[in-house]
Amino acid sequence: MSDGRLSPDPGPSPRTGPGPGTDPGPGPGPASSAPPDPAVPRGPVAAGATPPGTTLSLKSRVAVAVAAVVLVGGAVVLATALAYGRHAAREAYDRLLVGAASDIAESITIRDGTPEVDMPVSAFELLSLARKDRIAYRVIDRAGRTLTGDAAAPAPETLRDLSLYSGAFGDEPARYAAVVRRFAERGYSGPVQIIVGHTLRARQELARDIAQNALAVLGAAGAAIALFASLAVASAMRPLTDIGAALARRDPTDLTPLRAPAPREIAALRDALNAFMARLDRQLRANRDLISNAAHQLRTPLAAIRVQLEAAADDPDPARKEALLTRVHERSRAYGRLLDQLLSQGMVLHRADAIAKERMDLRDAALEIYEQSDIEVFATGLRLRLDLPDDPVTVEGDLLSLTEAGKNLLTNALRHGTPPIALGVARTGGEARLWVRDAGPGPAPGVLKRIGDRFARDGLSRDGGAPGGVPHTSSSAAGRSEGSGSMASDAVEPKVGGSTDRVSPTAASPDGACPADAPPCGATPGGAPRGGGAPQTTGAAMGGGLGLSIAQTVADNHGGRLSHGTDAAGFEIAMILPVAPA
Amino acid sequence: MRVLLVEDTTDVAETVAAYLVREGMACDVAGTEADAAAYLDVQSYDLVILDIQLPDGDGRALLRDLRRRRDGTPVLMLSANFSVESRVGSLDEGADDYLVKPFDLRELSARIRALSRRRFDRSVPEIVVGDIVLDPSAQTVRRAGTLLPVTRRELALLVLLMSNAGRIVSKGRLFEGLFSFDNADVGLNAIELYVARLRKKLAPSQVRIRTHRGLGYSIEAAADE
Repeated sequence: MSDGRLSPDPGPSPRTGPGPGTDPGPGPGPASSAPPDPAVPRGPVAAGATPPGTTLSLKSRVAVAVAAVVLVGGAVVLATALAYGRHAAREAYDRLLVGAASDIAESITIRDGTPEVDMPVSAFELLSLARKDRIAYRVIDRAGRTLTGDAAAPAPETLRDLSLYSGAFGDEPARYAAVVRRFAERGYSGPVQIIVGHTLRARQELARDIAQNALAVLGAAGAAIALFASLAVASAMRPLTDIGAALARRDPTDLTPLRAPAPREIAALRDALNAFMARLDRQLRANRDLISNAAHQLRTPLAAIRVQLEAAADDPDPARKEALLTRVHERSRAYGRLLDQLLSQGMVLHRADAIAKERMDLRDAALEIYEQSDIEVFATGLRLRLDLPDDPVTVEGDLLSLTEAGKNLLTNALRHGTPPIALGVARTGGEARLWVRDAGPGPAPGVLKRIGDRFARDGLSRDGGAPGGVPHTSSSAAGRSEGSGSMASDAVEPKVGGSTDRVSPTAASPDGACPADAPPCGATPGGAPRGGGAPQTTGAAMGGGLGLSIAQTVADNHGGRLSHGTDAAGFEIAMILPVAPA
Repeated sequence: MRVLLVEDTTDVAETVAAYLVREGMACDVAGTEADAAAYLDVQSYDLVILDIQLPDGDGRALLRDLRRRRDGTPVLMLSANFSVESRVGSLDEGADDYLVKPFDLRELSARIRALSRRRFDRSVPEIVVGDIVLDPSAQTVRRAGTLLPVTRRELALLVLLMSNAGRIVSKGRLFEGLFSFDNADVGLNAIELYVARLRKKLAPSQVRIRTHRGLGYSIEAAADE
């Protein structure tokens, strides 16, 4: 976690309390730019220990759903089929019974006042259609006597032209039809009732047949549904498997987006994956840049420290030795500041993606910058004006990043600008401005333009940081205290790599320990005050560029921009952010 | 004055020890947590300088042990990796001050002197309002025993309000108290923002800062209302 190491001045802060006040809770530090905090267990380790669980496979889910549909649907269809089968069988065989009874009725004649039955063959042919069933028939005259047939066959309870009813045939259930034929002849006037019945085996068989067929059809349909469902699932899942396979096949460093076309539902997943990888890629790239940048930037002041130390060790003159050691001391302080800025650059890059923006008052950011730069302002002995409007200036932002950016702009002004220095917030139309002003003419135009170009491109200075030197061409630099001399020397030497000249062997030369092209720096060593008026060494100059880069990164990340301009009153640099909608 | 320096980077430890001896202090150096515990068992010190990262453990564990034994020896924590949480955390665990590496030797000796002075300088009484306790000599604010991170100006504002608890302090007076010694040119409206910051930090407490439109601000414990 590096959140605590934000101050551009690594020097110990005076005792004002436990830390920069409004630092929000435990925000994650830049993943790779900060050394791991031993007290804090790192997430990935814990998360990697147990693989995430697997839930029921999609195929099984579909299978369960299809099985449920087939089972419930099947039960309903089966019940319907059985009922229908029974109904159909009853209808068919009842007609048979009625037909046979009618045949018999037709064949009855009255002879001598007595009904006579001449059993027709057709009736038995009809009844023989139910082959396994036993048949009973009975003909009853008007007096209720059985004229012919089986007297055990039950008669209907009421006398109607046609009755269909269930009864017993011995100990078997049976179905009977009763038909009444009415005679009005001389010898016989009244009804003759013909009863025909049979057992139920054929009916049951028919019902069973119908049900069985229905069941067979149902089974076939179920199988077909299952087959098609499984095919559909397999085809629906294929794009997912494809994406998985494509990811597995990939080179571990390949974070380019997946290009394979996919159905709409899965395209959402693919796009989310792509967005995730893009974010990862951005962070990886930023971290890579940061590391190479850091290595590069830190090597230069380290080289200076080393040669100056060696020179000091060899120098027989105590006064020059003392001067060299003082320079080394200042260098190492600048080195610390640079390190802090690199960490802070890493932090803002990390937070750009990792931290959600929230509505905040930009005035709070200005105040926080003011609070955190307290020590530095105090050390420089400069007057700082804080210019805040009476009404809130609301933006969507990350307080920590905005503070970091503003602090770096302010630090640049304090180190390189001409007093008076002012920090403020303003709102013009739909834009919020967090600005820093000083009375100087600002950096050389070419330098700023290069910075703008460079940082507009990728937000990071890639090489030794020389162009980031943001040396102010202040002719009024003479008005500044110690150190401004060499600041001017940086300014007149804007060429890339110019700052590294300090590391050249001339720096180690016994006289002056100064590059020949920077005459005024000889004045620096003796009275360099602590903190304030720090000599504008390579580290500090580079820090200025890095500071701008931090501000640029934060502005970009907030959908804003960095703007600068010079007028009669001096130089102003501002972060311009969109005002949050009300 | 006897100082125990617990620091595992040998050259840093030796340099610091040599410097402290030159400054007139007796200095013992321990490279591990175990060594430090052994030193503390047999000798009492006026000050312990404690590095957080030690080869055999966390310096904070040593600090906790010390405080559990009701040993009030001032402790100055050192760390190269001081996030805000661990700062506040180590102060909570009883450290009296902290210093972030890299540091200047002069700064270190200034802190040591301040700590040893503070130990004998308990003349200024604490200011208590509700569950907020402000210690002007230690420059700390605690809510129900928990240290609140406040900046210099927030502390100044709180001192003004708390020493006039229940009374209205005008904006102008607060402004003078906060900025009169500053190299700053700040509008009166900054007071509102500072009050808002303080309110946020005091938020879970029963103490409230009330705004009296046109008059100023007052602080009071909620129970008084």
